[in-house]
Amino acid sequence: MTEAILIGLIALFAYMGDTFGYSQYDRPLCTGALVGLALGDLEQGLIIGASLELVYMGTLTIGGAFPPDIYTGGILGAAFAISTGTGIEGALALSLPIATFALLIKQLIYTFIRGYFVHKADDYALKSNDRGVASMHVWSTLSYPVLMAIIVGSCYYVGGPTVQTILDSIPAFVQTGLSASASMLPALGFAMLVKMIINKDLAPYFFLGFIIASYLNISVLGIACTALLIAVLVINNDKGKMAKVEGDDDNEF
Amino acid sequence: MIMNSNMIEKKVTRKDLKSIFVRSIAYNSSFNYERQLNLGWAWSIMPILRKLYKDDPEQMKLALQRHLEFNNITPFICTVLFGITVALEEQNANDESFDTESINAIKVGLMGPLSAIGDSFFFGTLRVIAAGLGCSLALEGNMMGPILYLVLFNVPNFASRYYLMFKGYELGTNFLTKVEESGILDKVFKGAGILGLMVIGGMVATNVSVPLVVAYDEFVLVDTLNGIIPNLLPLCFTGLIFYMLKKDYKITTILAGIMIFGIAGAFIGIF
Repeated sequence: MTEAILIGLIALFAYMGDTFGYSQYDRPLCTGALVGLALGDLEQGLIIGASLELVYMGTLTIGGAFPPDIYTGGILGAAFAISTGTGIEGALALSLPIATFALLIKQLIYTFIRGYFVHKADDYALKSNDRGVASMHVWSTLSYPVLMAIIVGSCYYVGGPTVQTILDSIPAFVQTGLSASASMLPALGFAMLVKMIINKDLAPYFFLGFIIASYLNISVLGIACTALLIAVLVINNDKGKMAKVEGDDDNEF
Repeated sequence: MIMNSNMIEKKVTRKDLKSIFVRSIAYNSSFNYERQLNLGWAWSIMPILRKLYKDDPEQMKLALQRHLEFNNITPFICTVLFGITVALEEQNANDESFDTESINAIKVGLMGPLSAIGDSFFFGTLRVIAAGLGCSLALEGNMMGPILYLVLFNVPNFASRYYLMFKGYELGTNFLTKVEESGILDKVFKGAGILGLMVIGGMVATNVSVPLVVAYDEFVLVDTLNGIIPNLLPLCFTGLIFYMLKKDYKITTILAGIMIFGIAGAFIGIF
């Protein structure tokens, strides 16, 4: 029981990582060490954490895309591996399905619970209530870590074999479907951004960026540099035209 | 409103900027799918809004709504955008003729390109190096592994947040003094729009994927489509979502739709 509470607290701490400067201590490399300390085997914790970290190194949140939830995957993977003595293989075997399942919880919370706080903040804004808006950030921040701490702690309490049985009972297509939807979800964020910026004059630039990335395989940073140059060229060009046609603002493109 | 010109100019101080820097540390802690980091953004910039609009409920309402719009910038460099935005808000509070549309237009246009730089430096480079070194030590059971990793990553993280806070504000105010001379605002609008759209276009190609596995003998659907235009599917998918947003579908509906589409698709075997 004490161990389960400690594991839950580690999860709470890890999921609060965004609150403390997004300082990346929520990754398996660090949580593995903490789990090791909590369960009395620091060395195993370090080794298992580092092994999981290497596996998941490539999975990062970029542009609103979400990989499997490696925080829970890392903590529970390491905790079960140490408590049952199955080592790195055991940690790996358990952590990925756990991480995929945790992604489902994350998607639900990010959509519905945190969506609720966003709408509530809109209501407060309408009443010019700045305190109300601010408090929504705080509640939204707390909601996810607290829930995850309870879930992770309970999972550890019921034990690795039980968790494995529960995970096995989830059909494979749910997992495949979740990772498919996770790879499609960034489209929503991009579409929202586009909707905010786009107008008739600027629309071609969206496709220009897309085409450059698709055909030339240039990284996003490369595109940003190219875009900066194009923006400067276009604006300089406009300047020349402006000098000729004074005040004709609407048709300058 | 008329008495605005007779009022004492509202001035943002270094102390105000510091308080935003401190708040920015929790900027991305309330991520949601609907508007991503909007709550954290509004919360972080709140001291400035209070200072500028405390005694004008109508202005406060508009400002709150402005800053609850969609928001997402790499957190490690978010303060540069806070700085620029604060400068714009300060100008807005002191100048009735200021076009408030420009605040969000500039903010949104810069988010994507700045994030492209921030993501690739902090995630693509720094974190990989720090984690690589940290892992090699931790694999030998050395406690210094995680510690070294955290130090290597976070010294630049916090230094960049602090430095960019003041740099961003300086950029914003310098820019505004030039605005008064010429119609530079329109140009920056357009420039930020070009930058933003091109980067988002590129990210649609690289970060969205529709992992269809439909195939029949030699015929693989995704390969065929990519033969026409690479990444055609992600483009069409993003286009569909854009169309739904235009048609005022609720974001929660779209989100749930994508998840159901994924799971149902996997069930019938197209993913």
